[in-house]
Amino acid sequence: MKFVGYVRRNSPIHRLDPRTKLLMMASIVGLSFLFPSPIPQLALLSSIILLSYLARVHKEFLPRFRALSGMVVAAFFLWSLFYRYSLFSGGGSSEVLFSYGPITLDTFGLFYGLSMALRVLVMIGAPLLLLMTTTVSELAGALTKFGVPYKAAFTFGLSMRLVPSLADEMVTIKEAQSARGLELDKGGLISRIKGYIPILIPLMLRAFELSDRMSVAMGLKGFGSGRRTSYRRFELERRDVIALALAALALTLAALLKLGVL
Amino acid sequence: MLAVKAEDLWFSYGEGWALKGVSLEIPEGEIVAVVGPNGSGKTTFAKHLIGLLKPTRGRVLVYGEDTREKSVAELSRLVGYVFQNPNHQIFSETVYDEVAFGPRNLGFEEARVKELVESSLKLVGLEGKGEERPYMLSMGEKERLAIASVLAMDPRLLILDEPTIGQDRSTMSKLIEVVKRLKGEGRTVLLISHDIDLVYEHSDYVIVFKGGEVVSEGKVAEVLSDPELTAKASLSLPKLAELARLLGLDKLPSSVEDVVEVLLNEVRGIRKEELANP
Ligand SMILES: Nc1ncnc2c1ncn2[C@@H]1O[C@H](COP(=O)(O)OP(=O)(O)OP(=O)(O)O)[C@@H](O)[C@H]1O
Ligand SMILES: [Mg+2]
Repeated sequence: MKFVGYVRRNSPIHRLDPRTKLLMMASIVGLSFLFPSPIPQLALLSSIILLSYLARVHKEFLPRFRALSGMVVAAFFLWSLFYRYSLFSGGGSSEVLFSYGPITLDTFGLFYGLSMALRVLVMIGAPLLLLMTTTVSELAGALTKFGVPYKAAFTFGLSMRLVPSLADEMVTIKEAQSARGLELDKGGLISRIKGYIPILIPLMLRAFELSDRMSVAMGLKGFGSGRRTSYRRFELERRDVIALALAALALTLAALLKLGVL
Repeated sequence: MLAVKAEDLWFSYGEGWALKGVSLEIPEGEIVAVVGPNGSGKTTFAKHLIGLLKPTRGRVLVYGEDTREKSVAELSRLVGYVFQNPNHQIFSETVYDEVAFGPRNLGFEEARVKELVESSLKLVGLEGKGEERPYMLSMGEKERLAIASVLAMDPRLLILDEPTIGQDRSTMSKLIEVVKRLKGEGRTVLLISHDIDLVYEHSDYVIVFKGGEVVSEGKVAEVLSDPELTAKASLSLPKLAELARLLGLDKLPSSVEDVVEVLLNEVRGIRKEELANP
């Protein structure tokens, strides 16, 4: 199973204009930045999950969260125990729940850790959902409509496509080397780092091989040989207007809240 | 002794079953082919033998060892697994170091490593190339290098997952030679392949997978000459079996020479008859 990748479905979300989806994703990520506390993060997360149901990809989407569980747990512990060492910490005072050496857990830390853990899910979940409901070429098209040069947009799309295949390559390489007796979680730090050499070298070479093959294929199909025309039309429809209006409403409410007007 | 014994093996990658209750036995010292259509579970099954995948249900014994209780590194002392694309494993500066990687991981002494590296390079026909750079080798040589680097770990069971894809005839016949030599040394070879003629001519037993189940197993000539079964498993009938069917031979040929001999005898018989009653 691939972690990232388009899932073909017939759903209202799939039918939205890619620009709309890009803007919606940007609003969710932006709101997650603006409101670091747990309740807004929880709201954002629920809206992502709701969207995945609307897009009929929840069966594929939700299991991805399980793969992130390690990161979520790590984020929770790191931020709740060590937030005060962070550059951005305000250093308020709160009730200490537990303390041992440099490790202190207080109520603020707990609160902070919780929101950071949720934030990981929001920040990864939103782009992931976008990529599951939008093809790479639609995304590249949307970017050019926003004024990004075609070559840059295309390269972005291409690298998005290369990431999952490289992840698959890495899994295979890891399997091949562990079948040769390589143990990655053995020994001290140095020997662990050294253990990655037999994985990283073939991976790098495979990446060159894949991109080289791709560039030949692109050249053969006339990439970069002048102005190109496009068959695909991007037109905003009623459903796009509704979706954008909802996003704008959420953003406005958020801005008003932030400014203390509400 | 049995090389492999699978007992009601079920495996799921997450949704649906990739293996549905596979039970089978692989005798030691034989060349055993695994065939079946794409996605039938051949690779999934093979990965269980070296512990890269662990049974969701049931169990697999490799030379009597339960794979659930062993790490991949431990099982790699018994089982060698050659991945299809040699570029997924080649990383060393020299051919020698590449082949020495496995035995060094197993903690063999350098003298023993040298011995193993040299004998396995010789076995695959790459002797004298120890100081060459692996990336400079031809694709066929890289394939054999990958096999040598697994052989150097001295495995009792060697798994080759589709080693013949995209190889020319000479590479293929060298590969077959290697496989036969391994059998001569008493090792077991599990050959996953879509090349039904290769399987028919060069392996002893065959296991047919379809939809995550074993639909048939047994002596190659018996299993693969059954048109009903091969059709059911979306396999083509081996050319030799087809020939035998068309000629109405009752004994199955194991090589082209067999067929030729039968035909020659037939012709000689006819001639004799003609001479007797002109
Ligand atoms: N990493 C994986 N994640 C999820 N499903 C997988 C994975 N690998 C294989 N599968 C699925 O498991 C089933 C069996 O696949 P497997 O690779 O074992 O087949 P195979 O017989 O080796 O096929 P092929 O001849 O194409 O190599 C298929 O349905 C396949 O889609
Ligand atoms: Mg396979």
